[in-house]
Amino acid sequence: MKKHLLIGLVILIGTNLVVLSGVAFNRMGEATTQLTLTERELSLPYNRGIQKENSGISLSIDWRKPTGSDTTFYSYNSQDIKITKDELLALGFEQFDSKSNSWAESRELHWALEFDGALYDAEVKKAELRYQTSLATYQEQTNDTNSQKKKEALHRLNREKKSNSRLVFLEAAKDYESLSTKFSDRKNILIVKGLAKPYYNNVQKNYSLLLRHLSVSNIMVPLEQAEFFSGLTSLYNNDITPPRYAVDIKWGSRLEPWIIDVKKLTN
Amino acid sequence: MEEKQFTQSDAQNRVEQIHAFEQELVELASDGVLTLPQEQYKQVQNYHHQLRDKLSQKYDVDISTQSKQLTLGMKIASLLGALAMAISIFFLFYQFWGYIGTTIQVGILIAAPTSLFLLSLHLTQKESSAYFSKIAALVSLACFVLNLSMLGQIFNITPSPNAFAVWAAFSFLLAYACNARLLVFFGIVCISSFIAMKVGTWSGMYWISFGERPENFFIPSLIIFLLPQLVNQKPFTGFEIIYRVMAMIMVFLPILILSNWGRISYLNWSTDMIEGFYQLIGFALSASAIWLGIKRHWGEVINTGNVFFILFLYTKLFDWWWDWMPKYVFFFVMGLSALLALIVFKRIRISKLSEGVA
Repeated sequence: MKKHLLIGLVILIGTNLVVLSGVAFNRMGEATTQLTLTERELSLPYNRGIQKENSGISLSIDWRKPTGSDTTFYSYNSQDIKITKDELLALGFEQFDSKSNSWAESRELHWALEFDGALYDAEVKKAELRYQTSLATYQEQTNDTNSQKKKEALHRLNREKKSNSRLVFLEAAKDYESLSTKFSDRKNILIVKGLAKPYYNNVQKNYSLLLRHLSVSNIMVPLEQAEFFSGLTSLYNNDITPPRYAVDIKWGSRLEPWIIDVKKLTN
Repeated sequence: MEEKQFTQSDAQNRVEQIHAFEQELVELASDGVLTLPQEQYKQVQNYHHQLRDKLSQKYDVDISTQSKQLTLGMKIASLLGALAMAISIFFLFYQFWGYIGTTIQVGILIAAPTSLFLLSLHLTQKESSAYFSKIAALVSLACFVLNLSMLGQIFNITPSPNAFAVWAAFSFLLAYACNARLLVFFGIVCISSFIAMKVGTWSGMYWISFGERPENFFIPSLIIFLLPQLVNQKPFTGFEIIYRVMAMIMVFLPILILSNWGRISYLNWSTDMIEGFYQLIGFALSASAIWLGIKRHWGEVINTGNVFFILFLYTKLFDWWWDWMPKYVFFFVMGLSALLALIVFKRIRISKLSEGVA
């Protein structure tokens, strides 16, 4: 029985020590990225179902991919990007036979996300252009359909300006170094790990990369800052509400985030 | 009386052997074949009486049919109780962890599995039947799973497959310390998942996607099947059976999936070729399992082999005939195939019986 006791304690205490050392290692030294994100990029959990019994608060990181130049504007469309075969091979995916297999397994890649930069500005411009076009159409030909289209375009423009996430996918790479070297002079680039899965479209004869999710997609709010969120409820997708809070976050050497501070935003 | 060392299952077998002997003796006497002299009969009866009392006290064995039925009820109650307690602890933490600071959270998460582990070891030494120690052990494992997953959430840690390796290690340790089959089951699930995840990552996939390639389970199933051959499991009730059945499920289910959905295979062949290959492998392996089970007297291997042989056969019949055959003919053919299987098993049984007589 002494042998069981000893091995059990080694497993229990040893594992916890390893985990906590990993946490300390991540937070030691200089952070890889430090950003102040707002409610636009960090949403509250929906308080329903089993979540009702959860007293802890985790903020979900909302990111998006840019809409293509030829794509009709819509801010949250599917999370896949067009990619060439060579780019897929460079990301470490093995060549898959597109005739019999139209997919390959997911891989964890490093993602570069741009915060409030040129990619986001392009999305605002696109929304503005769409609104101006629909306004012109409405003025040329006033009817219910064009009125509705104008209304929708204005709603989307307002959402883009006030509540949509400004954290936009920029690039994926096999390793951290290549991205950190490439974007070393830009403070608004966040490098994190995320999951991606390639597909081959047999009809269009092209490859795409589905950006599935971030490896760490939620950030736990510590007790000291949790009180701030106690009276707040999560917003629905269609709400156009200016962000109510800003959160200072650091990402450590293992690209794992932690909250430094939470501030109230008054609009 | 000579002091012999038993395991609980050995002790239970011995009690049942005594019971059978007494019944047979009555039958032999009534048929006039054998009647023991009164003195000898009393000696044997006294010996059996003392032995049964001793085994009952030391190993908590069932000495009557009623107590056996009650034991089964107790086993079910302890299983349900342990599962409910484990879930309750999860929700208890979930309900209140938002109101406590990080240091206390971590302290509770480490203290809960450790104290329950100590309690389970203490109870194992105290009680012979170990019902309460098994409950404490299962709840301790649940707390350890909660421990690591909650640390992951609190500190926003990137998920890792290594958690499954330590959960498996702790599960096996508790299983062998408390002689708990359910914990062996959890240990096998965790270690097999871990090996399958690692095999998957060697091919470049993300570890959580290990299920996307069913072949990842072949290596862990082989290891699990061979384990009872390499490490003696005799002192532990039913452990061998769990190892073998779990290993067989882990090999046959992936084969069954691949024989119907070849595109998810690692093999770089055409889908039809892969499916045909795994159909053949499925039939051959399940037939071999039945043969091995008969040869080694492993009832569970025979039964699992039978179930999967029939599954392979019926999925193939469905594949061939469901669309074009009238349904009454299809089900008639299914019935005929079941009769055919019955005839084959009957012949094997008769040949085995005649071997036994010879």
